[in-house]
Amino acid sequence: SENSDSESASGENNNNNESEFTMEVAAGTMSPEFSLAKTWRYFEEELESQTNNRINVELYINGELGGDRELTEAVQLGEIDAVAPSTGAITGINEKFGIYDYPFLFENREQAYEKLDGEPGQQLLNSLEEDGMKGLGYFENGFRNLTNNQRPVKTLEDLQGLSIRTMENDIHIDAWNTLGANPTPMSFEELYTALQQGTIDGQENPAGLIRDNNLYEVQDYLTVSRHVYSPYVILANLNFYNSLPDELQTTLDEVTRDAIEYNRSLTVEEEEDALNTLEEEGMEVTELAEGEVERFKDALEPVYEEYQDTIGSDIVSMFRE
Amino acid sequence: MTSLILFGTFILLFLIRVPIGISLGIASFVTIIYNGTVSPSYLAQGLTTTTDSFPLMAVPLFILAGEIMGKGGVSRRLFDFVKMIVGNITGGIAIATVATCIVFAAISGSGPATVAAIGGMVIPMMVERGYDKKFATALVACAATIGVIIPPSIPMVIYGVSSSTSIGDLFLAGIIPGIVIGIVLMIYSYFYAKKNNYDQLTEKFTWYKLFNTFLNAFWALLIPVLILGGIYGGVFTPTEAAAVAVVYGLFISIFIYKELKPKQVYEVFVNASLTTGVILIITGSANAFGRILTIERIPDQISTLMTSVSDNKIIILLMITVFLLFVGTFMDTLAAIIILTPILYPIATELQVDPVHFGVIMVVNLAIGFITPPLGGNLFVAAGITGMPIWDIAKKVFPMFILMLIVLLLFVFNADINILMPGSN
Amino acid sequence: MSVLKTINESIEEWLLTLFLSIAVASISVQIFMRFFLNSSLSWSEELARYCFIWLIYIAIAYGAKKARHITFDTLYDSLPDKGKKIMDVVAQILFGLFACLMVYYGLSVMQTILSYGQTSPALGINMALVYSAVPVGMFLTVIRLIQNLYNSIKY
Ligand code: NA
Ligand code: NA
Repeated sequence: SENSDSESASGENNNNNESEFTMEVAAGTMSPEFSLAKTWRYFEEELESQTNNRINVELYINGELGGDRELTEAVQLGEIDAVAPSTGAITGINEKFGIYDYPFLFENREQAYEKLDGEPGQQLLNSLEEDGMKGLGYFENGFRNLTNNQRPVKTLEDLQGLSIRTMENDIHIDAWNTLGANPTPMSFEELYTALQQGTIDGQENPAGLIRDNNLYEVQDYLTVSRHVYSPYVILANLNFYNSLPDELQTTLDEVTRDAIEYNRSLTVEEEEDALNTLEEEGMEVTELAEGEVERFKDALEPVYEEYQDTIGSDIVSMFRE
Repeated sequence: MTSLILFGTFILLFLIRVPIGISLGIASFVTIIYNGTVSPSYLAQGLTTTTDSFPLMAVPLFILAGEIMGKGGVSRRLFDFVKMIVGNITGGIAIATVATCIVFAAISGSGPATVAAIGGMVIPMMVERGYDKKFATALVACAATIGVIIPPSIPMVIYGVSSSTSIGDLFLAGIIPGIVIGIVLMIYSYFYAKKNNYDQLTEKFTWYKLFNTFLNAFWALLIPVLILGGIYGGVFTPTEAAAVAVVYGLFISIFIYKELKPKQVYEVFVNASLTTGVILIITGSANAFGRILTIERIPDQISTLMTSVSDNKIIILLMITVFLLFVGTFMDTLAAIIILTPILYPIATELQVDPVHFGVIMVVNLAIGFITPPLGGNLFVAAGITGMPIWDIAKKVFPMFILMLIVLLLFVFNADINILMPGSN
Repeated sequence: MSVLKTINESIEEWLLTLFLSIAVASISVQIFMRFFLNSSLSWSEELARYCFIWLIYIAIAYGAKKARHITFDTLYDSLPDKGKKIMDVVAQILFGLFACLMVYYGLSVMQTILSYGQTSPALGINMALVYSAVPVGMFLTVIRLIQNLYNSIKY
């Protein structure tokens, strides 16, 4: 938002008053050591120094302003200027982003980066303009992995009948159903207790999140299934972005690119760390058996097809080819 | 300056009898306009998003369950059964009242709902037997605080959500403190009755009558087993348990006890919704208020202040206790938990206080807030039932308040020993 | 006329009973499906939550109608009758003002959501339906406050 009198009146930080623009950036609840929090701090530093403080970045990244979904809405509404939510907060607004819910879409990080930074990923970002937002790029949330309390899951057969907490997301739910598990949408707040008491058997999330929420205390088996690659989409309010002069837009784009680089190197490290911790904390860590990914993908073919129309078949083929 | 505006506006509006939730909302609104961090529509958006929470649904559901049990004859049957056991002791009916509150606490997750369910029934009985009406009302208000200490408990659910602590562990940890408070209140009732020469005999005890009242209360006594068994047996989550309590309560009240008519079911639903609304407007705006506090970095300031006084675990916990007792006098329990958990929880974890233990200290502390004037949920409901001014009740509450405080301090001083959890280290 | 009167008397009660019943039913079905049929529902929790949001904002209007909102009464009780009346009117007007603001900003949030056509994850309903709870409930609250104010001035 542009600096108004009332903002300068708050006067927390004297050099704020000289900035032409204030960019309010928010993130959902997380620890200050989390890679996304570090990334935003890096972004703040870089953007302020590279614009000679013409843009003043204000961070609200400890969940002060709410969770991903409400922050995304807040960016749409122009209440804040930028946020990087996981795609779950966007699919209700822009169905195309459902593509990132496709299981086994990317085999590895390199492939993911290639698609995200290339034409397919950028086309999706451009489509956000219709929703009043400027898509600036992708940070990394990570590959989602499966944990449970019943048995080590190495094959498709091992999944049968497992009740797994999923997000409220049709593609995820259908995919787990198709694979023979019993997907159970449940609020994240109730997850720990539900796993502890055995109300459900398992859950799936990136390793860092599993560690940070102490889920290893209530889960025995971890499969490094890497079944979904989950990006954080960097969103800015479109009016805010357009209100910046060209040279500031260019700097913002460059700083964002640097921040993405920085973020990716952090998250790779963080995932390794987290996986090590989970093993040290006594989880039995397994990989999917040889050739199982192909079996999973074959089994999931009907799901890929079912959502093709909602997402757009052109987009699906761009990502899957 | 910003915090002055935030707190100043709130206190001013609060004093001139603007509803508390609205006072918090207007104070947040004025602050947002003043410092321009976010646009005011953020507040309107927040009213929706902060109430969009599944665990918060424990509020209407446990309140509804409590109402159903009260109107459907469940609490009366529990009382009759308990009375048969302890009725022959001096002050038997008062002791039975406390005991019923303990059992009912394992059904209800709300303090005021427990007062409503028990108070309407037992206060007239105690008065009939010559008890001082103020004492009777005060006793129910105090004993009903156990409703949020023994599981299930709405404040514990909210604390668990705000601090990412296991609700299941919190529930277990509340059992012993709840029972201890109950026992202390029973002992007090005994001496109070003895001093005032209140009757001891309610009904002649016979094994036949005991068996009979037990059979009558059987379906009611099954509720705690069902709820806690269901949660710890992995059948449902703590929030879902509340819905089970509602359905089961409706079933036995309508089909087994045949005390709840369709018209009453309608009234019970409306009443529970009304109570929910007046609580949750506070919860919703307390969230907004709390977020502004965080934006202004006030939690950091408070924790710096506290840790600068001392780095001794017990001393800081005592400071927190005093602070919470003070807050509890004028603030709603749930609002206090929502605003204060993000402030106090990091201090506690830094001192290596177990999050579950700290949760119990917070909940017991704020449960005591239910009986401290000028703003105490239990006092309000109790005053509503008997039509007495809350300050009159508060005088009789005072000795019991001191006793409960002693119990609380006992648990604060034992922060190093995990005596809260049955069967754990 | 009598239809209007009935609506005026009972509209909140009907809605509250409806929303609370749906919430209880959908959570119960959810437990049943998961535990007995080992087949979870995707929409039950979301439906319950959205009913809950509506329940809250309608109940706030009902609380205003019944004058049951939680207030600090100590100062008020110490005032003479005339002072009480003034404080009452001032407090109600402030309450009403806040409700008006929330109607205004709530509508603007709702409009934006509506214009971008955001849908809910599980039920796929338009999120504006959820967001309309605040402006609708607060509008009803304003009406109830005006009715109260009118009655307290008249009598
Ligand atoms: Na309880
Ligand atoms: Na109090």
